[in-house]
Amino acid sequence: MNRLNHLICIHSAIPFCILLGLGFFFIPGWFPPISPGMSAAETGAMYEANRLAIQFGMTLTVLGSGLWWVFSAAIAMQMRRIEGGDFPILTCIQLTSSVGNVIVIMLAGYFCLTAAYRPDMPASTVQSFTDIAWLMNIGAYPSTFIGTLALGLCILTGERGDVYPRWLGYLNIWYAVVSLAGGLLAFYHGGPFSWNGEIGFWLEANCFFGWIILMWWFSVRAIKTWEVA
Amino acid sequence: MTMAATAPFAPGVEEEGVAHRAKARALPGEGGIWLFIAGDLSIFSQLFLTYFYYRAQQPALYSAAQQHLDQGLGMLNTALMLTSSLFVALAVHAARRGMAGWPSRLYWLAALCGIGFGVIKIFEYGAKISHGITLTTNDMFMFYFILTGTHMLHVMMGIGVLLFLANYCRGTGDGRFTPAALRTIECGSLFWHVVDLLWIILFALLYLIR
Repeated sequence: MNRLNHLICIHSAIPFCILLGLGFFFIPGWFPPISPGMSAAETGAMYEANRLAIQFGMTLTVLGSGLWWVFSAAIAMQMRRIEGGDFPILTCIQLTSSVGNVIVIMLAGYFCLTAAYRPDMPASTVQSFTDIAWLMNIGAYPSTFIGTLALGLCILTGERGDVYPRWLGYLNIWYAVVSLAGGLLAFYHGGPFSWNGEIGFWLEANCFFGWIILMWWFSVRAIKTWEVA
Repeated sequence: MTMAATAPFAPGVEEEGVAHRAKARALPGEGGIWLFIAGDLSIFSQLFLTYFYYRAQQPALYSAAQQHLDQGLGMLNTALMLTSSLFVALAVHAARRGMAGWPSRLYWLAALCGIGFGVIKIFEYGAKISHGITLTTNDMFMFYFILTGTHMLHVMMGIGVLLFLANYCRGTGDGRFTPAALRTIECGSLFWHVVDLLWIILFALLYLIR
C-alpha cells in the first residue's frame, strides 16, 4: 500500500471543489444561482453577455467532474477496510454511485457548453439546455442518496470501528435523506424548493460541500493512521 | 461534568457531582443517533422557519387553503402516532426488564399503527388530488405536500426500523439482551419517537394554527 497515493486521491476533493465552485458558479456569474423564473429571452441575453465566461467556466466544471471519481475511490478503499471479507457490496455500491455524480456534473457542464456554442441558437433552446444543466447539477440526488446511504450503513455495520467515527455513519444517513430534496426542483420556478431556493439550493449546497469537507478530513485521518500488517 | 469539576472539596457535594454525571451517562442509545436526531430536527426547523417566512408574506392565502385540510383525519393520525410511540416505549421497557416475547409483539403493534398512519395519509392525499389540489396548486399546498411528504418518508423508514426491531427481539429465548443489543433497540426506538414528535409539530403547524 502506497500511503501517498491514497492521500493524493483524497486530496483531490480540494481541486474538485475549487473547479466546480469557480467553473459552474463564480466564473459564469451564476452565484447566487440564476433564477428558474427567468424567461427564454432573459436566458438568451445572459448567454449573449457572458458567452466566453460561461464557456470557460463550464470547461473547468467538466474538467473538475472527473476528480469526484478519484475522491470516491479513496473513500471506497477505507470502506473496503471497514467492510472486510470477500464481498464488500456496500463499497461497490458507493463506488458505482459515484459514477452517477460524475456524470451529472460533467453533463451539466456539457449542456451549458452546448447552449453557449452557437450564437444563433434560439433563446428557447438555450433555456432548455440551461434548465437540464441546473436540474441535473443541483438536483443530483439519486446517486448521492444511494452512495451516502451505503457509506453510512458501512460505517455502522462494518467489522472495524476505528476507520471512521460511528457518528459519521449516522451523519451520512442523515445527508442521504436531506439530498432527496433535489427531487423537488422540477416542480417549481421559484420559492424555497426551486433550484435557487432556501432549501433547494442553499441547504443542499451547504450540506454537499460540508459533507465533502467532513469526509475529506476523516479520510485523511484514516489514511494516516492506517497500519498495514 | 462541569458540576463535578467546580464542586468545592466537600465529600458530600463531590459525590453528588459524580452521581449527577453517572445519570447523564445513562442517555439512551449511542452518541451518534443523537447527532442524527439533532440533524433531522434542524432540517425540520429550517423547513418550519421557511414556512413561517413565506406564510407571513400572504397570510390570507394560507388561511384559506388551510380550511381544506382535514382536521379529523389529522387528529386520527395524531392518535395513531401517540399510540405507536406508547407501544415503542413499552417495548423498550419490556426489553430492559427481560420480559421474553413482549418487545417483539409491541414493536409489531407499533408498526401496525405506523402502517395505519400511512393508509390514512394515502386517503388524505387521494382526496386532495381528486379535488385537483397538488403540490403546485399554491404555496400553502406546496408546504403541505412537502412537509407531510418528508414526514411520510420518515414514517416509512421508521416502519422499516420497527419491523427490523420486531424481528431483532425475537431471537432471545429468555428475553435477556446484551448491553449492545439494548443500545440498538434504544437507537431504533428513539428514531420512532422523533417521527412521532415531528408529526405533533406538523399537525399543530398545518392543521390547527390557521
